[in-house]
Amino acid sequence: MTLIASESAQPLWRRHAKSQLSSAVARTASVLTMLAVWQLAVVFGHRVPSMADTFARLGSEGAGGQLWTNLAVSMNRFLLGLVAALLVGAALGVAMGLSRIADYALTDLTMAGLAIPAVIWALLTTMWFGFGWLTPVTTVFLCGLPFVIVNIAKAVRAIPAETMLMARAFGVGRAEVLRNIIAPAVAGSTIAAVRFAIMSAWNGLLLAEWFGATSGVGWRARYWYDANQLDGFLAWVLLFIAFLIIVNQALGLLENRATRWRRS
Amino acid sequence: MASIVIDGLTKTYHDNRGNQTRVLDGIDLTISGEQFVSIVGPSGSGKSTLLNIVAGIESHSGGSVALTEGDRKAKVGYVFQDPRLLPWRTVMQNLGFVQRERSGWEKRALHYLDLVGLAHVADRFPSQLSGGQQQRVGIARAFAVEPDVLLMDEPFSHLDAMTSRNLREHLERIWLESRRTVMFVTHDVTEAVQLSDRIVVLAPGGRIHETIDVDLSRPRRASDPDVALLQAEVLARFETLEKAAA
Repeated sequence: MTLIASESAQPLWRRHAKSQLSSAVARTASVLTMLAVWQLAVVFGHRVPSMADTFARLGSEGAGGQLWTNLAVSMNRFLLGLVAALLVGAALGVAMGLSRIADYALTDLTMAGLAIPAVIWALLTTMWFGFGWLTPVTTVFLCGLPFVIVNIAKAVRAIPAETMLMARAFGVGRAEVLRNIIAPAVAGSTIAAVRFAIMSAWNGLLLAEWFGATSGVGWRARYWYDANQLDGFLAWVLLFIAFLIIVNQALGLLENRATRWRRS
Repeated sequence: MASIVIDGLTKTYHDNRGNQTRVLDGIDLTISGEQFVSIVGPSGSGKSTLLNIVAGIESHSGGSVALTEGDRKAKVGYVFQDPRLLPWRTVMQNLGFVQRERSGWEKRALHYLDLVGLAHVADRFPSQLSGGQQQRVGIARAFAVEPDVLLMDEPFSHLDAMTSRNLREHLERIWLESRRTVMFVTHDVTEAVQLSDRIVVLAPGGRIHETIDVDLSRPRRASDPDVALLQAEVLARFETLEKAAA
């Protein structure tokens, strides 16, 4: 009882700062643990490159221009595929959420899309399109699309029918309903969809570039793998992981903003 | 002059086994001009179904409904049992959402928010308001579209007695200022007598049992002797109807 009283008596800024500090401590501990495991693997393993060698290789890739060129190429393909997946997925998701016929027509296809691993899409697109930009872009699109559809359809279905009837009773137009009811209602889920889609699509991109490209992050990782230079390979894998972590954090902030009305 | 003309309206539900349930049976009713008409009746008499059909959000099986203002279709405002506000929009944005005439809507919205005593919460989200305040926003929203016809479906039924009484007074005051054509569904006889010019009593099965004219001066209070007397009389008739239905 006393504890509750003293905690609730703390000023808001202090509670906020305390929560931020706990979060930062947990994250730092997680990173340090990973680095410690890496160092142990270096000491006891035979073929694990050290942190110094790996970061040195990353530095030399940056200095030689390979890092930025390949990262830019991959980002370009990734954004193109992801934006296409978001646009098509949002349209199909809204249609599935609003129409039973669209739901029946697309549910099985979407489930099949979710079940197919990224590596299968990467191999298929390489066979379809060969070496070129279309292979990774299509892989990103196909890997991300089902996640967007499923999350948005679910969010649209969750909109109370009473809210839609209210809009109808007042004669509100479709564009206004889309902007003021459907879009805000699915905003939180859209960000969740984008998070899942990014994880899957980035994975697909790496594989597609590994199998079917002559540039990009995936291609460069394979280059070092084929050369049997594991520090180079690991440096590019680290870059791949860093990208996912940064994007995930940024989307978390965006999600907080989109759903601030829930905490008001 | 706005009017609601209901002619021979029927509504029948069909279940999966092919059984039919008639909820409205040949309703003929005309509400026009500055009239406040209440529809009362026991549960299952089809009050809300009737209102939803009039609003165009539910289909009917037979007959016709026409909402007109002169030679054009009447503009409709609706107050629901629950406020049905958009939780992700502020109070002001909720009022803006239903506006079909965009010019000067902010001024209109603030005017009606002021009339329900909530102009100071225009920038808050619905979750920051009490249930009674949310319902008042719902009333302001319906008036702020400056409707020709106002439809209300038991708007005070989810509120406590004190809040409900206050809101009735708010509603009567706004209505006296705007004089819209109102169709008001309620199961509360006190509410109907206090607010209406005419009370239409629906019987189970969706027929009009009787129509009672309320010729009392305004503004009214539930404690006024004339209001209390008429209320007792309507309640007695209502109870007779309920016993007959049981």
